[in-house]
Amino acid sequence: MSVILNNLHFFYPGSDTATLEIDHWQVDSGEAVFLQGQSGTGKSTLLNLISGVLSGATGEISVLGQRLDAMSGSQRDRFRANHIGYVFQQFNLVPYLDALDNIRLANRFSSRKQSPERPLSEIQALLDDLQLSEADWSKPASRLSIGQQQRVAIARALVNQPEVLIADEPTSSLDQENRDNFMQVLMERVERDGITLIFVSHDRTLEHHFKRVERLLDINRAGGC
Amino acid sequence: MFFRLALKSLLSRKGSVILTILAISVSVFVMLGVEHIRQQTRENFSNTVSGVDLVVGARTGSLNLLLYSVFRIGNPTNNIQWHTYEKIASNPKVDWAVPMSLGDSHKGYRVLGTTTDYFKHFSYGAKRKLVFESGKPFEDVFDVVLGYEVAKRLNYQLGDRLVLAHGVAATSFSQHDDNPFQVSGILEPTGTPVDQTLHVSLQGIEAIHLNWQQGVNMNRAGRIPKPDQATLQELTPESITAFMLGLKSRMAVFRVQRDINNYRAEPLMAILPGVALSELWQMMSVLEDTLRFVSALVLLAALMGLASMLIASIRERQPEMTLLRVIGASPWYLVLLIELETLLISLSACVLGVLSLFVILNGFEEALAASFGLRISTDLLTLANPILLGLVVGLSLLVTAFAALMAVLRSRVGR
Repeated sequence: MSVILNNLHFFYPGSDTATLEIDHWQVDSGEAVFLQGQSGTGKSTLLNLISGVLSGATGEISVLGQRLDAMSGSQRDRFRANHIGYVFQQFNLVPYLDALDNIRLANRFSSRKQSPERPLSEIQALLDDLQLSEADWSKPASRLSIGQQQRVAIARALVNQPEVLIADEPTSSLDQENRDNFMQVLMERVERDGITLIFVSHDRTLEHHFKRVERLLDINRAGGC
Repeated sequence: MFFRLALKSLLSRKGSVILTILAISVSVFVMLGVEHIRQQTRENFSNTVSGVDLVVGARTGSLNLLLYSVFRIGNPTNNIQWHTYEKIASNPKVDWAVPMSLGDSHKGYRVLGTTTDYFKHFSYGAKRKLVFESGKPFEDVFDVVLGYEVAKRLNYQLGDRLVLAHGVAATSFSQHDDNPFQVSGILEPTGTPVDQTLHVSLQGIEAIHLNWQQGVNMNRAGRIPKPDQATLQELTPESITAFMLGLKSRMAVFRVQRDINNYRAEPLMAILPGVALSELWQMMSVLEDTLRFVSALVLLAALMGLASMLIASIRERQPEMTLLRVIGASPWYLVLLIELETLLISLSACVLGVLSLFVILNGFEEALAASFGLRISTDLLTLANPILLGLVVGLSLLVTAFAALMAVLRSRVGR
């Protein structure tokens, strides 16, 4: 089991209505889930809780068999660096670092013994695999196109060989062509490495890439904020 | 990687970073400059006279005696009889004695009547003797040795002739114009009142006052023939204004001082110049404190500028901070990253500030000496006051810590 949520309740400080209220939800190892929901339904809150960026929820959050809700802040930071990859809609890269440095930085935060610092050649192979031409490797991230940035973001998210990949509207700022290209590259990698993928989007045209499709409104009784 | 991240982050915000560095370096510059000039002024001041154990004059306040004998400010209350001087100078504890006779001037600069021993014994700063830039001490009765500033301001060369004026006012109606003096030597700059003094022999002072009665020149009437050179050389003054003493042993200084203060035949007073100088400096502490206060305000302004720059940049870097947290950076890592950036900013500002102070002081060294009589050392080691620089770096790190904690707290509460 990759992710298990039980009796999850979350309130933002100062708010008296729950943002999230989930009785039970789980994702199997190697499963790819498409979680569909409009903005403001608690999507980002849920993903931040699963990745451990956000804390303060009541109930159980287990990822890879470990209770995130029982961990300290620094334990969650380490756990996230080692086991969870994350791709956002935007701001995926440190804008003043080039693609290679961005990936190396993420690699540096991982302290897992089984994935020691990966040699440059591997990172380059990863970028190559994601169809990023060599000329763009050492450009500052801010000078890459959005499509290129999102592909570097996949590489960055995968560099520590995470078991879980979380994608939060990763295609929303891409045009049709880039979106198809991004989805193809992403799904290939995930399938090949057996990574659990939680993919959140409002865009129902992407549903056909996934076997399991869920609507956030169906699992979240609170209905967002 | 950590250092590289900080460096690249700063480089990506070149504009505001450079402005901040400039703002802080300006305040470092002003702060160190004020502090340095304050210290140097104090040093200059207390170095006005050294190697002189006692200054003796007619009984008055110690500050008054110091002011007129050393700084040539104000007027003596009374004169001392010549035989009193001779008697004290012959005391076995006394190594040397240099008489001083004041009261005349030249275009606002005071004239000091003394002996050639003055050039031998008077010293200033770290026991530095007077050095001749050109020429030599006075030999003839009508020779004059000019202080550096007198020669420079009034544009006198060796051999030039000048006329002394009776009294110390800048414009005098009674000139000693029947006895012009010839420049025999010019001293090197000292940064002390010596620069603003004309030195003549005691005989010279006597000679120009020969046949004067109560400030009026009787020679004008032509009744009295001019005395010849030989008689002039034999002139001894009846009285002098003050004298400086050097003792054989400094241990005896308080004994000799007490003896002089208790001298029966005439009311005298002896002061230790170092003690009187520090008393005088105490009176100027208000000025000193004001300077320090100004420096503190400048530093405060710069730190507030740094804080506002950081807070603005942190707001604009919020996505970046959140991103770093998501890819596994701990809150501490972010705080340290921001602190490292501040450290780089404040260190380069300090270096820039010290360097520009050094360059500017070097460039204006001559101008300061010429127009203010300030001798400023440009020693980079004493310039870079480590406590002040440490304060700048420390305070900027402290100010930043608040901004950094704020950023980290924000990055905690999701997107």
